[in-house]
Amino acid sequence: MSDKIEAIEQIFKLKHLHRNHNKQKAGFKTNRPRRSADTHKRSTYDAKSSGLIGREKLEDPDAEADILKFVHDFITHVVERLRNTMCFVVVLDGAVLLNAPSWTLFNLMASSPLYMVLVMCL
Amino acid sequence: MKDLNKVGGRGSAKHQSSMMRIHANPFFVDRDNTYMRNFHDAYGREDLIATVIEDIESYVVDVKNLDKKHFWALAVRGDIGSGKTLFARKLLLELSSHEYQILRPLIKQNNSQFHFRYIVSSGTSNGSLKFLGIWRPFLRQLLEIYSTHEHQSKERIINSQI
Repeated sequence: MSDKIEAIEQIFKLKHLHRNHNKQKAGFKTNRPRRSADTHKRSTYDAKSSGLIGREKLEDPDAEADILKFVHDFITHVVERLRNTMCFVVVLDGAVLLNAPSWTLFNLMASSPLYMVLVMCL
Repeated sequence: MKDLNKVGGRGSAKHQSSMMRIHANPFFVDRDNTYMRNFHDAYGREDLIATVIEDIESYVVDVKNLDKKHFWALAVRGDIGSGKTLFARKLLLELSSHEYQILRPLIKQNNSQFHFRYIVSSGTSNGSLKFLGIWRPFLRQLLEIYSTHEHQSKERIINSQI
């Protein structure tokens, strides 16, 4: 739970959301290489180009689905609530860089009713 | 253009999407090779933006089955430097300049407050490594807009959703 809330705080750039307990954990961990002599000897170019270095990972892998569901529900709720006032026109430039969770969110959005205009530059 | 209209559909309740190709990369000097010949049927020189705006207008104004309406999506693909971003920018400019014209039926029917809300997010290689990287600016702006509309703090809104 704490992991999920920490991740949501990072996504929305918020602080001090309610938690069930006081245990604080980092929502995401980044698999950056440690700066040791051994690391400098090896070329990290291949790993970087494959996207293995610097990629965020959730400490609890099961939390990913929960967060995606939460974000999807949030988008649906807001768009539905503001439907009589505004129509969102969303432009995603550089959408070719969408990662797997981002495409999952896109698929979730596509599967449910959403009054919105979306332009993606791939 | 006909293909674009066919794929996009008009006002249907189903998920609407279009895949379009804009003009060829101007950095390619040799235009006689096979690769460049494949671009001959590109849409670049036609007045594409007007057609896209027409399509958006029919989607936005048609309020039938509003509860079941899926988002209207347009995917623009092309080479590096082919003008995808420029196209999106011009589309936004045109859309904003014709906003009142497009939304006039809705404004007359429902309320005078109805408007487009533009949210732009740009993906970077660094952002692609982050969880929901490209969606983050969109989500933050969505929360900002909603909190202003509801006169509530962002934390309170998120806490009520969790």
